[in-house]
Amino acid sequence: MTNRLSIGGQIDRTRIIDFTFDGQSMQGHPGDTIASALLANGQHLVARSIKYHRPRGILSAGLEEPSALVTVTDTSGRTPNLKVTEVPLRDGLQVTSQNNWPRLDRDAGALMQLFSGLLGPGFYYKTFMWPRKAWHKTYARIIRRAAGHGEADTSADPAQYDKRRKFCDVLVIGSGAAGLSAAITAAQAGATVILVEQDQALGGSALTSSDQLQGQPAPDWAVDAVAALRELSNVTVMANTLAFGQYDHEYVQAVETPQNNNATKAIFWKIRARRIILAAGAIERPFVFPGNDRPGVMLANAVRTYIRRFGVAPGASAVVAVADPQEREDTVAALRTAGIEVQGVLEDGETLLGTTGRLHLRTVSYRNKMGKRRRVVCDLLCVSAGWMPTAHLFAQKDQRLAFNAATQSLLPADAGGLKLMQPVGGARGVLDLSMCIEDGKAAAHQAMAELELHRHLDLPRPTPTSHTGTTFNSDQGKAFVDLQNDVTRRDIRQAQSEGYDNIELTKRYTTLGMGTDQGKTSWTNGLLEIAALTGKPAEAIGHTTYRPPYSPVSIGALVGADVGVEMTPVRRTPFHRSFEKLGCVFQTSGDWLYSRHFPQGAETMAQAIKRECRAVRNSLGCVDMSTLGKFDVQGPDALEFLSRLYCNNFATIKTGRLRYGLMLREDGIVFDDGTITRLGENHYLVTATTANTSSVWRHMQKLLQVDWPDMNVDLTDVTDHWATLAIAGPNARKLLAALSPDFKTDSDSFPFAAVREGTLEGALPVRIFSVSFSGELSFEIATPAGYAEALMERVMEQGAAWDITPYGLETLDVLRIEKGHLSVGTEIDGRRTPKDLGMGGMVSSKKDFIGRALLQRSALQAEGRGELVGLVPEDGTTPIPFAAHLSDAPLFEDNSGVSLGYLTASVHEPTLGHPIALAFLMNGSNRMNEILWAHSPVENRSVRVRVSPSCAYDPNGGRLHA
Amino acid sequence: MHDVLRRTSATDADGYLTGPLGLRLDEEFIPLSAVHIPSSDLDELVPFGQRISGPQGIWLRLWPETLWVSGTPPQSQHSCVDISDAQTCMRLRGVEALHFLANYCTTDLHDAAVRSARVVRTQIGHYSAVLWWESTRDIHIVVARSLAQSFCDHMRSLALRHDPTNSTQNLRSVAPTAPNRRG
Repeated sequence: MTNRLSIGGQIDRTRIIDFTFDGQSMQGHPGDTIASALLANGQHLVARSIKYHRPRGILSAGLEEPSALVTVTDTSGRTPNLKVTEVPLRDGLQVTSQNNWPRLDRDAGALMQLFSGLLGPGFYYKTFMWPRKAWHKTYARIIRRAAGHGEADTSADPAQYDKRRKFCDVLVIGSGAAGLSAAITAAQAGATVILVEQDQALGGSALTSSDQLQGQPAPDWAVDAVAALRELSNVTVMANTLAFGQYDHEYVQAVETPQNNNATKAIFWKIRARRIILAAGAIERPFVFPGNDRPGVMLANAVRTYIRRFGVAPGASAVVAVADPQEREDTVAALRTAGIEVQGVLEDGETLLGTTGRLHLRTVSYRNKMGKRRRVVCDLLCVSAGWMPTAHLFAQKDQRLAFNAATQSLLPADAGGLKLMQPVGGARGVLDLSMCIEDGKAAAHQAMAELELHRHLDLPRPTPTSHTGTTFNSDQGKAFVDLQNDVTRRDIRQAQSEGYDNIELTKRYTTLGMGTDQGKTSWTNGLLEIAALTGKPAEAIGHTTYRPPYSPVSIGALVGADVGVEMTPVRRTPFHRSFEKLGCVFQTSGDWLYSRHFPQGAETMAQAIKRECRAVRNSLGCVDMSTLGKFDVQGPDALEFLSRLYCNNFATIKTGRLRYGLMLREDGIVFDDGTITRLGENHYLVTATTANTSSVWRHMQKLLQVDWPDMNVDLTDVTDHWATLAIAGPNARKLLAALSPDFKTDSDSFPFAAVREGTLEGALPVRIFSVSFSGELSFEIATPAGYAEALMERVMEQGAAWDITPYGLETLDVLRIEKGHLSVGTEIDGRRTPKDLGMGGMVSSKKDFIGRALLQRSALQAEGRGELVGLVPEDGTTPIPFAAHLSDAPLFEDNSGVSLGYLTASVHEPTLGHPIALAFLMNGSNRMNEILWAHSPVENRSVRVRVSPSCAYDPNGGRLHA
Repeated sequence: MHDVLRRTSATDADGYLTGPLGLRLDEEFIPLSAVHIPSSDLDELVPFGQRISGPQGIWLRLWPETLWVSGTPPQSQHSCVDISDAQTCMRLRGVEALHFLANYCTTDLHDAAVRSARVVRTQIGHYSAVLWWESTRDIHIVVARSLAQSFCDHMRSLALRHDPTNSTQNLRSVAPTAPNRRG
């Protein structure tokens, strides 16, 4: 560590950390960042610029770093484009430079500098215009390959991430003098406080200041303040935590990057606070002058930070070009403490002419006020043109910053009124640390008063620190305004001259302020350049929109633990474990993990479905119906409520019986279907389709709470309470009897569309509904979900006599298509009236119900609407292609054909012995037995089909009543 | 014949969660009913957002006109529906149980009103849940039965992500037993 000072710094010199840079072994100490460790090892050249491949070093010591982007590889993989100034040094890090070939100090891409005169803004769009097709195929690919910095790691990230929440009275963002002062004030008043700091060390600029604060050196004051905060149980101090976004209702998002091999690589915090104090400090502004991007040109504050905090000498001989006289003096003092020779100090009005040095600064040229040119040999140039408040979070939420001529910076506008986020200290342009303490205290008192935790003291707020007015002139030459995007002064001039003079257009045309640093060091300089070029006052130019994130956040942190199977919650039916034992293949259906089919041996899905269908049609099958929505409806007005809810009449329904019900939306379109079972005088159970369960529940709740609050009806969602297993097939009633219910099971005692409550074998509580979706004799046996496995066990045991076959969703679909039953999403598609679905006769004309009025609209009553029909192939064997369109002519040879309708469902090998399909066909009910074409442009196939009734299986329903 | 009727659990939660916090997650069965009572009457029994427990069992008032009852329901003309199997009750036990959950709840579990009520209806990650507790080390979590296994898997995954040795991850924004500093 050639440049490590022998004493000083806030690093742990007792421990050594090994890391590599471009394969070269280096060492650092705990407390270092990669930047400080590289500088300690004499590595000033760190990167190549994006466009011209110019050599770049480390400009800053914080998140504002525009140049020194690297790829960092650790045990969790490779992360590109990290700023060396923001990554704490850890053991074993492999740091790699980016955007160079074959190596950093001899980069072939640097030849681009020869053509820099041609590569101005809009170069690509002005140059690669012909031939037009080549843009996508050739030019864009080449440009994309040449552009960008690092390369993303495409392998799976093994690291763990998490998303968590916190709540507090006061959130303080930033732990400098203002932030610590605000946090202590708020905490001592009794507020719950969260203090977040993006750096690994708390204290902000106080850590490197030479000021005295409240009678002690600033770094000591900061350490004391942090210790005091850590003692308080109502304060949470979070280092390594970047607050990157502010949203409505005092909601801030932050990402914590725990150190020391924590179980979690990054934690995405959602913090909701009653008041937010933004104490994010200020960012130093560099000068724009020729050769200002050379490694060795550093912000003065960064130089002081490396010397005082990290014990690193960033050079051996230096020139100082700092606008503020006090800061200039402090910088010179820091340099001399570190043993760095000060070769020159620029005074107000002097002109920076340029720099030299191939890979590192070698000389600085400037002209003094007398006009005398001076060339100084040095390897470090400390620059500072002033400070810019870090008020980005403030500006993210509908707040504007306003250019202040006195401070020469964009300041948070004071619009008056209640401000839930208060910038303090450097974030509002107050630069003196003593004043920052006062400002933090005053803002915290204000917040306490607003939260009624403290009486209103109305303490005065310090005014923002004015700019000294000191400026250095700049000579002509390649001067970079935005180092990350290689945007020069000439580029900005060109944008203005070409008409891209709106600030948003200038940004997008030149890329000024884009990239991972989002213009933190360039934006104010860009603003001043535009003002100088156009003659407009900087106040009139404004700024572009600030958006989250303030600084880049890893996608892993945003995703948290929601990866793989945990991406979304999965609902399992009560029979899940039983089905697993039966070798079930599951599929997701909405949130549900539903049984799809039950293959035996090496069966394919198609073979399994065929076997399951035959079993149901010929003997006995069982299927899980637990996912259907089930709502308990009770109360004196329950019947009236349901009568208004469903369009069909069931006023005469008796206790112990059930009816099919069709529910319409207010616009007369079919919404859902299900059954209504009368369990008692004022007690009903209604079912909803699986897909619509939540919608129907919300609909019912809304009607009772908003539209008919006077109705005395109690609703309870019992969907998850009941496990329901349907037994279906000619032997279903025999199995029911074998299950030993405590009620009669013959067809007279327990007819179709009835319900019985009791027990099986005198113990297992059940509700059994004689209802069918398959078209076979069927009973849906419902039992409390905790007894699902007991029910399944009994059904399989007793059903073995009839070779009971469990079946899944695929078979269920085949059976219902044969029977012409409706399914949500295919037939009930949000556009159909009851008549379209062949259920016009069900609609009651004797009562009012939801949807009745609008169902009478002429468009819904018109002839020629698509109506549900069945289809069979004319030849009796050819499968009808899925999603085919119907036409009375051969395939649209000239693309002029007219579609008469389309298929909603098709099965190729049902138990009927021939393919069938369901379709919506214009005027379908009047087209029975017509021969049409079913065209599938997707399958490139057409089949002649005969129109038939939608119910292809047991149209008289005789099997249901067996 | 099946002599003994066994109620099976909805999840495989039965023991300690892997991870350094030493949390234990178990499923427990509690009989639960939804009792519907007009809010004007219910306000006199249990204020909204509160619970009472005693010889009658536990009454949770987290909806305007519905009371969840485990035990003896209040006398009422209104309906009482068994939802014991609609919900699954889990118990999360361990020194950091409440603080662990607080990281993932949309509601502030350390809020004075919640700390006092010791019951809350909230969202834990993607899961709607009702929590109640006598001790911050023993939390009852009620989730929909169909989601219970998925919820358990999620809890297991989250438990792995904590490291109590990391001082920057202060799980206690306010210790529940800490004196009220706002006075």
